[in-house]
Amino acid sequence: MAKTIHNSWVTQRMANRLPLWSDARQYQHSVLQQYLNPIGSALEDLYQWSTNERKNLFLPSANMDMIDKVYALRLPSDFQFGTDPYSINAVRYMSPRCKGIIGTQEIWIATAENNSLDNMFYEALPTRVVDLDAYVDVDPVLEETYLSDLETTTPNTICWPSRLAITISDCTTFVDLSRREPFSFLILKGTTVRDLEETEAIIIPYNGTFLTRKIWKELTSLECYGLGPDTAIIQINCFGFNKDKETDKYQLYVDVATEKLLYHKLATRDFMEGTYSVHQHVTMIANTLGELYNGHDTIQVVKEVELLYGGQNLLLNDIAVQPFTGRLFAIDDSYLYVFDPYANAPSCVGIKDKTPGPMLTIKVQGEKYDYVRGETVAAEAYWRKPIERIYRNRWSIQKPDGTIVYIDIDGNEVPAEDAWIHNKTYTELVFGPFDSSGGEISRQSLSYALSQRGTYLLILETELANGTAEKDIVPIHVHYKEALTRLALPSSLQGARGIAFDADQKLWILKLATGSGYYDAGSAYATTDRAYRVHLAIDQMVVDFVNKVIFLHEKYDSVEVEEISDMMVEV
Amino acid sequence: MGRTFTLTPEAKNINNPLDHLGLLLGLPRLPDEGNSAYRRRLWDVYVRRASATERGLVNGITRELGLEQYQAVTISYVGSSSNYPRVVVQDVQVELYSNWNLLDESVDANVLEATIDIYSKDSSAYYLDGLVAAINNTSSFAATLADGVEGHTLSAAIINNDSRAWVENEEIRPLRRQKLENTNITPGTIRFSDNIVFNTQVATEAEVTSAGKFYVDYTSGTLVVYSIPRSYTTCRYMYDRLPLTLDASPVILHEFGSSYFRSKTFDQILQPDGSYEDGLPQHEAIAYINELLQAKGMLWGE
Repeated sequence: MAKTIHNSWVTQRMANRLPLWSDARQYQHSVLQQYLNPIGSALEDLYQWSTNERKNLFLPSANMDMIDKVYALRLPSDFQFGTDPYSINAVRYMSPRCKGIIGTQEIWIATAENNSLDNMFYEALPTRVVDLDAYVDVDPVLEETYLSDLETTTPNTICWPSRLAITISDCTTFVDLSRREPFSFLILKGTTVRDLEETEAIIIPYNGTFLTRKIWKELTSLECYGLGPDTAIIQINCFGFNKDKETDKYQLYVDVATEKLLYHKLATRDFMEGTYSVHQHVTMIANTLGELYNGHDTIQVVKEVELLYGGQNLLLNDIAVQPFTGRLFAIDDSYLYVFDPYANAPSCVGIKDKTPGPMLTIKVQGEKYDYVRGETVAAEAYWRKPIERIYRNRWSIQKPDGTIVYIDIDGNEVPAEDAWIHNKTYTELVFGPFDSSGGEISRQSLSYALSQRGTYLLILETELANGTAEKDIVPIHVHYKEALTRLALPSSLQGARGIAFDADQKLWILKLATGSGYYDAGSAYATTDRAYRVHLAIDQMVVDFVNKVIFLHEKYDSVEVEEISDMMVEV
Repeated sequence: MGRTFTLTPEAKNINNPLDHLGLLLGLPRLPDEGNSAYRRRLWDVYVRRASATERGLVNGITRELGLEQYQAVTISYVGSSSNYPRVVVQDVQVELYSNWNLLDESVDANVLEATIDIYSKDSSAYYLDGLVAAINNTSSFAATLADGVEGHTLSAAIINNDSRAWVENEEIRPLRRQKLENTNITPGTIRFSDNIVFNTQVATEAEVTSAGKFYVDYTSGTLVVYSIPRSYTTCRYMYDRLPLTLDASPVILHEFGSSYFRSKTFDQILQPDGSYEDGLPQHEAIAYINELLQAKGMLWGE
């Protein structure tokens, strides 16, 4: 499922079976963790699959994007498929050229990867955004309301049957000690999409946005327990547009000692070129539920990833996680982007030159191996095995573009020979570090501003008194992510400000009404925010060469199928 | 250049886990039906149960055809608060009682304010907007069309309903004072499985002074009893559901066995005793009978 290589949280979970002092547990680029990572990734995929399969057992949680129907084109019995002239060992048929016609629109249809239905439904990226010409006005179901006023406030109409997005802010306590299970929760009553009067309790453990499990058509009453103070604010919306953060349903944040929930968050960062969007993986600082219930819900960023398309930074308006695939869908004013949810792992190829068990090792400050462009990495030399005298040592850095720079004791880039740091009195069992004038300094550290995207290698060379040379190498990664695809928004949806998936996993795009409203493409003057329903088309096909049938993902008015003779095949 | 063919795609369903649930529920996917629409129909199986009753048949047929029931009209009572109104939708007509009281057994106490024909084409209430207007013309009832419902919809699409509903088996908890599950209980209809604890009904709560006495506030559904009821005590009662929202279905079902329906589809012949008997079927009934005969080899009347 996951195509990019990433450091799986399962890997760290497995490594956490080791003693706390072991390197393999402490260090995510250790050889053991590299060895475990493919297994961890496979287990993570299995976890994702089994979670999804379990969801399919129940109607409210079932995947609505499951393969359900295809559109079949029955080719004439004398239809000829071209063969691949470069295929030597076997005859390989080539897919015909197909062009879908919808009204006056002509759309080329590509063959699905591996000519597989599975790929077409579960892996393929969308190729078109279709405005379904359907919209709703998105008035909040509950305007921003003080908790004290909650029970006397009547919720507004729900504009579209959906999982409601409940946003709580300014709460400082999330605990109701009068109860046996003392967490705070909100009780919703009303009519669900099943036309039944139902009740749902949502546990609220921290300030944030929470989605209901049930799909609501109408809310009649709301009650809250354990939330405080009364001046805390609650708001309920029909769609989860512009959510502050969104739970990552398939990944956890696992460090050497704790396991916590992980969230996706869209944020901005000031780069040299300007302010652009970044994708943050965030978690709570609080380690225990008790701390959370007491209102300690400050978040910390564990990874930050620059978002790019064609190497260019993007400034995005909103981000949403597609159910089941976990893919990130994002929009700016004119385009829809699709991103892989993971942060890529660094390339560890460079550490092959590392000396096994070097005496002088690199210790990255704060065990921070994940960076974003513009940040500064800090590391220090750590005399791990003081059993041999050190003659001299040297810091260097291999940049993602392959160039190597040498850093002197003052942090300046210098020629290779000038970067050596000598041990002042190496005949004694004393190790510096020393400054350029020979004075002893407290610590020998490296500080370097990261200006490129990709994997940097921090290299520490050491020459020992006995004449042997050692090298410690640590990879760190400056994260970036290229969009898997970019799709132009239809003209009617230009200026989009929000994006969300509804309970049927259909995509909705938000356009805001400015103070005086706006004219949308249909010239309707809008004075309220509107959500537009869109369809993500996948213009792909699968060819059954034996039975001469083509299966399409999308419905077209008609399809033009052109025979390709052998000579026309372009390879 | 090779030949070019212009072809029209045809939808082909592929089974997935939803179809497995559909098999369990006896509801196969319709041709070209997507997951979301199919999920809605599967949910509907549990909510609008299919059965051999008229409502059950409407539920089943509507769902199997991929159609949906909807809320059509809401009728409310605007007359005197001392009366006990009732609205009955019965086959081809809507009966509006401004007073209907089981406590008083005299027939005259039941005041039928209006009977509105919703079946005949010449009736002003043939369409829903006409029905709403006809109800609003009465002095005791008011009606509104539900949001999004087209006024030019056949009134006969409304499914039979009654503003008075029976609760057959409600459990009484071992409390001296409690609230029944429903309000606006029809006076005289409440009966208890334990006639020792619930022996004598009194008019006010203050009169519940000795064993066997109990009091029911019909409006709020509050029940007060002197002795604590035993476990598994149950009660049955009728309650009022006004304002009543009437459901409608694109599937319209009538029963030839119903005298209401036959009165609209057969000539009615006056008998010496003042009653009516069916005569020859009218044009519409003939069409129905021919349709039925076409579907299955049978003789009319057998």
